Amino acid sequence: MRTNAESRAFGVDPYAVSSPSKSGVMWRGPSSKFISIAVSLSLLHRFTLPFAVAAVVLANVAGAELPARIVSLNPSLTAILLALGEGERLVGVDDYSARQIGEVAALPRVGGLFNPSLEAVVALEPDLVVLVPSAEQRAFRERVEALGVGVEAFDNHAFDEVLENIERLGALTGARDAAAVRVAAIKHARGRVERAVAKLQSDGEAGGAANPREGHAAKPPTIAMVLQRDPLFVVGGGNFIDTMLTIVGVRNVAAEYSESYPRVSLEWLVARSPALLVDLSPEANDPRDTLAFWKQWPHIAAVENDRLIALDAALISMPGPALDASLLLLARTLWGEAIEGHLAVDAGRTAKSNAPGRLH
Amino acid sequence: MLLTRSRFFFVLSAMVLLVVASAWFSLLLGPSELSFAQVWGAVTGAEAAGPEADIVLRIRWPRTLLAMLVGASLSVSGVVFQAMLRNPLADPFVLGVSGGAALGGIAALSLGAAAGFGYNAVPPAAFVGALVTTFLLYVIAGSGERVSANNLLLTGVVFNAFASAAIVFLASVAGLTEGSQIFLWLIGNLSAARSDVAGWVALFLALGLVASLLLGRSLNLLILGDEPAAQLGVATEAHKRVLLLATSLMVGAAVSVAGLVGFVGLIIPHLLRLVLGADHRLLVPAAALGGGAFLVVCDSVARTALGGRELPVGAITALVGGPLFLYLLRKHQQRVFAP
Repeated sequence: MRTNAESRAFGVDPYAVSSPSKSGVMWRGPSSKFISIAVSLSLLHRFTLPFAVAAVVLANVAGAELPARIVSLNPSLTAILLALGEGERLVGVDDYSARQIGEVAALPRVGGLFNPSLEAVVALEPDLVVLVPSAEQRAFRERVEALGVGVEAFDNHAFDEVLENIERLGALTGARDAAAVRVAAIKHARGRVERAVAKLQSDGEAGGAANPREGHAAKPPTIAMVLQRDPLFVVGGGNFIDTMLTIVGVRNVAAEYSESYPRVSLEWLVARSPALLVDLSPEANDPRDTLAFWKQWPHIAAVENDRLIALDAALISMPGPALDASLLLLARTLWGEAIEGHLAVDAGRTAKSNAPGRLH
Repeated sequence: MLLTRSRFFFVLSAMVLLVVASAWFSLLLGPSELSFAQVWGAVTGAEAAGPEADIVLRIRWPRTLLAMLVGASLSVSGVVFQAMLRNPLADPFVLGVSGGAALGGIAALSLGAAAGFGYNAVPPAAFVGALVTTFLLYVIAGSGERVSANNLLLTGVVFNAFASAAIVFLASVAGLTEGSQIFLWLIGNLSAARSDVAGWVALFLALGLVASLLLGRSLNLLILGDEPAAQLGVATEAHKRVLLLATSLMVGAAVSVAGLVGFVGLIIPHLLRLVLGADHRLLVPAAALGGGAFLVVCDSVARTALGGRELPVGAITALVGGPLFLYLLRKHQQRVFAP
């Protein structure tokens, strides 16, 4: 493969139009085909160098023609596009996006995550379909591509994958700057929280200011994140929520499961007895009921020590553009007042703009 | 095989021991690996407080109890339906009561979510579905001059097909979390075990058990066919109606809490008929005990096979039951279905 070296020698980045993607699939619009032909021409016929350069330049100009009609098949991708200010490119969304995100509620819907309608997607004449390749959507993707519509797939399980998704969607829609700002904000928040937690944990070890959650770096307190009570589903290991938990200085008791959202037994939860328990289930919006429910299991350490927290799942379970807000919210919820000083010292004036709130 | 008093008591005592053994197995097994002493302490009350007692008495025991009751209900109704319909393929789900319960439960799951009902609304809704189906079944196939086995079967098959179509429709429009709940429910799952729930199942099990025990002799004769049974003095129609109602309610209650746990109601009756002969005076109580023990063991496996993660028990019963059943069928080809 000499493509990269060759074209860099020309001072042209072959990825200028189609951004690199982990899955190795690029946006298959006309301009990307054009550029690949141009690059291979330049390889085969070194003597046609001037022509090749001209062709590549042309391709770059064509590359400015960004997808004007995008169909998003996942709420996290929809949310990222909106956050990047590219919402007007959206011409259709999946049912979940429409349900969860007010801005796109009025857009045409093309079906659920498991059963998107091929016809509904194609009827919207999209230049680009963006999706998360779950089992169902992988098969769907092939059928969309067979009809000549470009598809970009985005994995969104891991924290870093979400950041990559923001950058890739930024590159695809010509909003690289907005994407870079968003990613930087998330990384900045991550750094702030990490430093504040480290400080709190060392204070705790030094026996200084009382650590409200009895954690220290060597043995961070355990936590369970309950997504649904009955049947019981929790947040497992390896996903972005698990990573956020590590960042805020707690240890997910279900990290042993590689599945993102394993169904576990009540016995397992009682036996693990997490020091903190966050209830994200839909029923958790009723605090009295939540307390009554968990009081049934008084031997779970979190229940015994009154470390039961009810949170709106929408605020942290979206692998979307607002991971910084989710992180800060988690940090403040779990550490309470104690972390405020450390966060403020670190962030100075930016603290306010990153205050937790609604995601969208 | 002649049914003598001593054989009756010997077999049932052995089955009771089996149930007790399976219950201990279930109480001892779990993802948190409690020691025998800890479990013993919790059961005897020596350790009445603490997480161990919670796990043994409030998590493992209600679940063991529910598995026992559901297993018994499904297995007894399998015996009754197989005899009454004179069909070896009959199982508790064949008459459509399960389909009605499933439809009721899943309607509550997928439509109730919007109205703010949780998973708790499912068992009552499923039971209402079972009641409605039992009523329809009775009106369509059971209220004429004769309760025809063929009419019952056809009504059941058609109703199950209708219910599963409606379930597919509901599942397609359901949200992500409701979808996973529907899947769990359809395959059979005992994780909703609570003691109040177990009480309801026990009530309807008692009803079905009393009816089929009292009518055990009639069941023996119904296998011969309606006319021979009538000639031998069985009030066939009246008895069949009673059995139909009692077992349908029993199935409805079991399915309402556990979903469609397959195979228990098909293979346990056949297995016991093979071993014990086809006298229903023995077969019915033996099926209650055997079905209970079988489901308790299967559920113990479902709770522990993947560590802290749960498997739906229906997957285990089918995985264990399928091969076991085929093996028996092959070994006793002539005898399995012979009454």
